[in-house]
Amino acid sequence: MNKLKLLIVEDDESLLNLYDAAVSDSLFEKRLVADGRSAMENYRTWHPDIILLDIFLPGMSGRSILKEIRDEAGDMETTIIISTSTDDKNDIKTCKDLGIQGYIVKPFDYKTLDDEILKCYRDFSNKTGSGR
Amino acid sequence: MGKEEKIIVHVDADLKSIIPRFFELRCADLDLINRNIEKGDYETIRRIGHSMKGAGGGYGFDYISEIGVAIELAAKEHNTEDIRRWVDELSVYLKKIEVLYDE
Repeated sequence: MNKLKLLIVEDDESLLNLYDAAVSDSLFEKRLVADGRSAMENYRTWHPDIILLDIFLPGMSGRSILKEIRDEAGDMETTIIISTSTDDKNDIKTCKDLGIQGYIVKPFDYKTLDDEILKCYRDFSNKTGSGR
Repeated sequence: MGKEEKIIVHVDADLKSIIPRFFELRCADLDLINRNIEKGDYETIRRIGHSMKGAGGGYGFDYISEIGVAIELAAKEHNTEDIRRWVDELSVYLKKIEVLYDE
Protein backbone atom coordinates (compact mmCIF):
# COMPACT_ATOMS: atom_id res chain seq x y z
CA MET A 1 0.00 0.00 0.00
CA ASN A 2 1.22 3.52 -0.77
CA LYS A 3 1.80 5.64 2.24
CA LEU A 4 -1.00 8.09 3.00
CA LYS A 5 -0.03 11.73 3.07
CA LEU A 6 -0.84 13.13 6.49
CA LEU A 7 -0.64 16.84 7.28
CA ILE A 8 -0.58 17.57 11.02
CA VAL A 9 -1.39 21.11 12.10
CA GLU A 10 -0.68 21.92 15.74
CA ASP A 11 0.83 25.02 17.31
CA ASP A 12 1.82 23.45 20.63
CA GLU A 13 5.39 22.16 20.42
CA SER A 14 4.88 19.40 23.00
CA LEU A 15 1.93 18.03 21.06
CA LEU A 16 3.69 18.38 17.73
CA ASN A 17 6.60 16.33 19.10
CA LEU A 18 4.17 13.75 20.44
CA TYR A 19 2.38 13.47 17.10
CA ASP A 20 5.72 13.08 15.37
CA ALA A 21 6.71 10.24 17.70
CA ALA A 22 3.27 8.61 17.62
CA VAL A 23 2.43 8.57 13.93
CA SER A 24 3.91 5.60 12.12
CA ASP A 25 6.43 6.35 9.35
CA SER A 26 5.59 3.06 7.71
CA LEU A 27 1.92 3.99 7.26
CA PHE A 28 2.12 7.71 6.67
CA GLU A 29 4.20 10.24 4.83
CA LYS A 30 3.79 13.09 7.25
CA ARG A 31 4.34 16.79 7.43
CA LEU A 32 3.99 18.80 10.60
CA VAL A 33 3.23 22.51 10.64
CA ALA A 34 2.50 24.93 13.46
CA ASP A 35 0.25 27.59 11.92
CA GLY A 36 -2.71 28.02 9.63
CA ARG A 37 -0.86 29.76 6.82
CA SER A 38 1.66 26.91 6.50
CA ALA A 39 -1.22 24.46 6.67
CA MET A 40 -2.95 26.07 3.68
CA GLU A 41 0.31 26.28 1.70
CA ASN A 42 0.91 22.57 2.25
CA TYR A 43 -2.70 21.74 1.48
CA ARG A 44 -2.49 23.55 -1.87
CA THR A 45 0.92 22.29 -2.98
CA TRP A 46 1.27 18.85 -1.36
CA HIS A 47 -2.37 17.65 -1.52
CA PRO A 48 -2.53 15.54 1.66
CA ASP A 49 -4.95 12.61 1.94
CA ILE A 50 -5.61 13.43 5.58
CA ILE A 51 -5.37 16.59 7.67
CA LEU A 52 -5.20 16.41 11.44
CA LEU A 53 -6.16 19.89 12.48
CA ASP A 54 -5.98 21.74 15.78
CA ILE A 55 -8.84 24.18 16.31
CA PHE A 56 -6.95 26.96 18.05
CA LEU A 57 -4.11 28.18 15.88
CA PRO A 58 -2.29 31.49 15.64
CA GLY A 59 -3.23 33.64 12.65
CA MET A 60 -5.75 31.43 10.93
CA SER A 61 -7.93 29.16 13.07
CA GLY A 62 -8.61 25.51 12.38
CA ARG A 63 -12.26 26.40 11.77
CA SER A 64 -11.25 28.91 9.08
CA ILE A 65 -9.02 26.32 7.42
CA LEU A 66 -11.82 23.78 7.46
CA LYS A 67 -14.25 26.30 6.00
CA GLU A 68 -11.79 27.32 3.29
CA ILE A 69 -11.15 23.71 2.24
CA ARG A 70 -14.78 22.59 2.30
CA ASP A 71 -16.69 25.71 1.28
CA GLU A 72 -14.30 27.79 -0.79
CA ALA A 73 -12.14 25.10 -2.43
CA GLY A 74 -15.15 22.76 -2.61
CA ASP A 75 -12.94 19.84 -1.56
CA MET A 76 -15.17 17.15 -0.07
CA GLU A 77 -12.63 14.32 -0.46
CA THR A 78 -9.73 15.12 1.85
CA THR A 79 -10.22 13.45 5.22
CA ILE A 80 -10.17 16.08 7.95
CA ILE A 81 -9.87 15.18 11.61
CA ILE A 82 -9.87 17.87 14.25
CA SER A 83 -8.05 17.69 17.56
CA THR A 84 -9.72 19.37 20.46
CA SER A 85 -10.14 19.43 24.22
CA THR A 86 -13.06 17.85 26.03
CA ASP A 87 -14.71 21.17 26.82
CA ASP A 88 -14.98 22.30 23.22
CA LYS A 89 -18.32 20.63 22.43
CA ASN A 90 -19.62 23.62 20.50
CA ASP A 91 -16.50 23.58 18.34
CA ILE A 92 -16.99 19.90 17.56
CA LYS A 93 -20.58 20.56 16.50
CA THR A 94 -19.58 23.51 14.31
CA CYS A 95 -16.83 21.45 12.70
CA LYS A 96 -19.15 18.49 12.13
CA ASP A 97 -21.53 20.85 10.34
CA LEU A 98 -18.65 22.06 8.16
CA GLY A 99 -17.68 18.48 7.31
CA ILE A 100 -15.12 16.61 9.38
CA GLN A 101 -14.60 12.85 9.47
CA GLY A 102 -13.71 12.61 13.14
CA TYR A 103 -12.13 14.24 16.12
CA ILE A 104 -9.37 13.40 18.55
CA VAL A 105 -9.74 14.53 22.12
CA LYS A 106 -6.61 15.84 23.82
CA PRO A 107 -4.89 14.48 25.79
CA PHE A 108 -4.92 11.47 23.48
CA ASP A 109 -3.50 7.97 23.73
CA TYR A 110 -0.57 8.05 21.32
CA LYS A 111 -0.60 4.27 20.94
CA THR A 112 -4.02 4.25 19.27
CA LEU A 113 -3.49 7.36 17.15
CA ASP A 114 -2.57 5.53 13.92
CA ASP A 115 -5.67 3.36 14.21
CA GLU A 116 -7.96 6.29 14.89
CA ILE A 117 -6.63 8.23 11.90
CA LEU A 118 -6.86 5.20 9.61
CA LYS A 119 -10.40 4.42 10.73
CA CYS A 120 -11.59 7.94 9.91
CA TYR A 121 -9.84 7.77 6.54
CA ARG A 122 -11.19 4.35 5.59
CA ASP A 123 -14.76 5.04 6.73
CA PHE A 124 -14.78 8.22 4.66
CA SER A 125 -13.13 6.58 1.64
CA ASN A 126 -15.70 3.80 1.70
CA LYS A 127 -18.48 6.38 1.70
CA THR A 128 -17.08 8.51 -1.09
CA GLY A 129 -15.22 5.85 -3.03
CA SER A 130 -12.24 8.17 -3.07
CA GLY A 131 -9.66 6.10 -1.20
CA ARG A 132 -6.51 4.51 -2.55
CA MET B 1 2.37 16.75 48.13
CA GLY B 2 5.08 15.97 50.72
CA LYS B 3 8.49 17.62 50.49
CA GLU B 4 10.89 14.72 50.42
CA GLU B 5 9.50 11.95 48.29
CA LYS B 6 10.23 11.40 44.61
CA ILE B 7 7.33 10.99 42.26
CA ILE B 8 7.90 8.03 39.99
CA VAL B 9 6.12 8.04 36.64
CA HIS B 10 6.39 5.16 34.19
CA VAL B 11 6.57 6.25 30.56
CA ASP B 12 6.95 4.17 27.42
CA ALA B 13 10.48 4.06 26.10
CA ASP B 14 9.10 5.10 22.68
CA LEU B 15 8.82 8.62 24.06
CA LYS B 16 12.26 8.81 25.65
CA SER B 17 13.72 11.16 23.05
CA ILE B 18 10.98 13.78 23.45
CA ILE B 19 10.60 13.80 27.24
CA PRO B 20 13.52 16.18 28.04
CA ARG B 21 12.06 18.83 25.73
CA PHE B 22 8.63 18.33 27.29
CA PHE B 23 10.07 19.22 30.70
CA GLU B 24 12.02 22.17 29.30
CA LEU B 25 8.78 23.54 27.91
CA ARG B 26 6.96 23.10 31.22
CA CYS B 27 9.76 24.99 33.00
CA ALA B 28 9.40 27.72 30.39
CA ASP B 29 5.64 27.74 31.13
CA LEU B 30 6.39 28.50 34.77
CA ASP B 31 8.42 31.58 33.82
CA LEU B 32 5.88 32.66 31.25
CA ILE B 33 2.96 32.38 33.65
CA ASN B 34 4.82 34.30 36.36
CA ARG B 35 5.64 37.09 33.91
CA ASN B 36 2.05 37.25 32.74
CA ILE B 37 0.71 37.37 36.29
CA GLU B 38 2.72 40.57 36.68
CA LYS B 39 1.26 41.93 33.43
CA GLY B 40 -2.26 40.80 34.30
CA ASP B 41 -2.48 38.92 31.00
CA TYR B 42 -4.92 36.21 32.02
CA GLU B 43 -5.72 35.20 28.44
CA THR B 44 -2.11 34.15 27.83
CA ILE B 45 -2.11 32.25 31.14
CA ARG B 46 -5.37 30.55 30.18
CA ARG B 47 -3.86 29.43 26.88
CA ILE B 48 -0.78 28.03 28.62
CA GLY B 49 -3.02 26.09 30.99
CA HIS B 50 -5.09 24.85 28.07
CA SER B 51 -2.00 23.60 26.23
CA MET B 52 -0.69 21.92 29.38
CA LYS B 53 -4.02 20.17 29.79
CA GLY B 54 -3.89 18.90 26.22
CA ALA B 55 -0.33 17.64 26.30
CA GLY B 56 0.42 16.25 29.78
CA GLY B 57 -1.72 13.12 29.76
CA GLY B 58 -0.60 12.16 26.27
CA TYR B 59 2.95 11.81 27.55
CA GLY B 60 1.78 9.89 30.61
CA PHE B 61 1.82 12.84 33.01
CA ASP B 62 -1.84 13.01 33.95
CA TYR B 63 -1.14 15.30 36.88
CA ILE B 64 0.30 17.94 34.54
CA SER B 65 -2.98 17.87 32.61
CA GLU B 66 -4.86 18.29 35.91
CA ILE B 67 -2.68 21.28 36.82
CA GLY B 68 -3.33 22.69 33.34
CA VAL B 69 -7.10 22.42 33.90
CA ALA B 70 -6.74 24.22 37.25
CA ILE B 71 -4.58 27.01 35.76
CA GLU B 72 -6.96 27.46 32.85
CA LEU B 73 -9.93 27.76 35.22
CA ALA B 74 -8.12 30.14 37.59
CA ALA B 75 -7.08 32.33 34.65
CA LYS B 76 -10.67 32.49 33.38
CA GLU B 77 -11.70 33.71 36.84
CA HIS B 78 -8.71 36.12 37.04
CA ASN B 79 -7.84 34.36 40.30
CA THR B 80 -4.18 35.26 40.80
CA GLU B 81 -3.94 33.47 44.13
CA ASP B 82 -5.02 30.15 42.63
CA ILE B 83 -2.77 30.62 39.60
CA ARG B 84 0.22 31.14 41.90
CA ARG B 85 -0.76 28.11 43.99
CA TRP B 86 -0.91 25.84 40.91
CA VAL B 87 2.31 27.27 39.50
CA ASP B 88 4.00 26.39 42.81
CA GLU B 89 2.45 22.93 42.63
CA LEU B 90 3.81 22.43 39.11
CA SER B 91 7.23 23.69 40.17
CA VAL B 92 7.38 21.18 43.04
CA TYR B 93 6.09 18.37 40.81
CA LEU B 94 8.74 19.06 38.16
CA LYS B 95 11.48 18.97 40.80
CA LYS B 96 10.29 15.70 42.30
CA ILE B 97 9.40 13.74 39.22
CA GLU B 98 11.52 10.79 38.21
CA VAL B 99 10.71 9.10 34.92
CA LEU B 100 11.19 5.36 34.51
CA TYR B 101 11.07 4.15 30.94
CA ASP B 102 9.19 0.94 30.25
CA GLU B 103 10.64 -1.07 27.37
